[in-house]
Amino acid sequence: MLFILLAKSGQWRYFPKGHPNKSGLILWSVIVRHYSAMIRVMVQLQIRQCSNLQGFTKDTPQPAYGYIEKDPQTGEPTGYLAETAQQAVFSKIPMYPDEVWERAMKRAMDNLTAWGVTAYIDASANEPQFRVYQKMEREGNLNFHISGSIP
Amino acid sequence: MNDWAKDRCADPEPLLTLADEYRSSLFDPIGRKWWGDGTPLSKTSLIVDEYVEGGHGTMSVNETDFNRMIEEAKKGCLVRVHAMGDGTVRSILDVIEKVRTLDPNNISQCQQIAHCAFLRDEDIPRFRRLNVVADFFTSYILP
Repeated sequence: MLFILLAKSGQWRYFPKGHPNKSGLILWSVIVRHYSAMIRVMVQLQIRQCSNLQGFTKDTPQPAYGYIEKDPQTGEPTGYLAETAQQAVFSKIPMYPDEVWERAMKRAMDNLTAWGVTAYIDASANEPQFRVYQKMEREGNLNFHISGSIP
Repeated sequence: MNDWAKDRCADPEPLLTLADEYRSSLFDPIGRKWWGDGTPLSKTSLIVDEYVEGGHGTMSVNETDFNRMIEEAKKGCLVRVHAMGDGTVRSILDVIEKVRTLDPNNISQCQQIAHCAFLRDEDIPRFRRLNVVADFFTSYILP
């Protein structure tokens, strides 16, 4: 079981050093994902025992455009992964099924409709979203103009 | 594509080829999402002045990516870039300036830079001149 928690900036202060690390998390299967810079960017991420899970060790070099925080005393990874360093974790997490995407997208769309929004930019659309948009349009349930972007 | 985009899209190229298949009157996948940098929080955003702790940070795109942005823009693709640092924003504006210079008629294609958490005063007029939307997103700053 994998839990992914979102934490806004102010909530990080409840963790030691201002952000969580593996010693501050109880369950090995918890990821805390920073809410900043859009959740789509997933800027910072912690996973307990990530070194065991993903092969990170004190000898793992820093990735290009990313950062693996290491304990200054022991040199061991703390579990704090920024930017591209997250990829080793996220590449192991399977994509949600289309039904989940559809449910989430419809919930977001309901909010947009309530706010009077009729068109939006999907700044980073993935393949399941493509399929959901198409399905909703075929069923006559897509009530927006959407300009999509492909990552 | 930046590596960390892969959490959402294992391989973007098939998506690009699928774009026409999925394009409809309501859904138009016309944009390309770029992660121009990370965030100032982890000093992975390029800042013109130094960070308090030193250093200017970094971008996550390079000259090859810039050329690809230009090529895709020439084909009508909209360039949509995540850029937090003022140095990154400036570099992306430079790229879009090149796009406009190469094809002045391209000015009608509205490009977009998302977040713009830091901006240099001298770069602000360039958004209007180059027809670039500054897509501010400030809620991450708020507690």
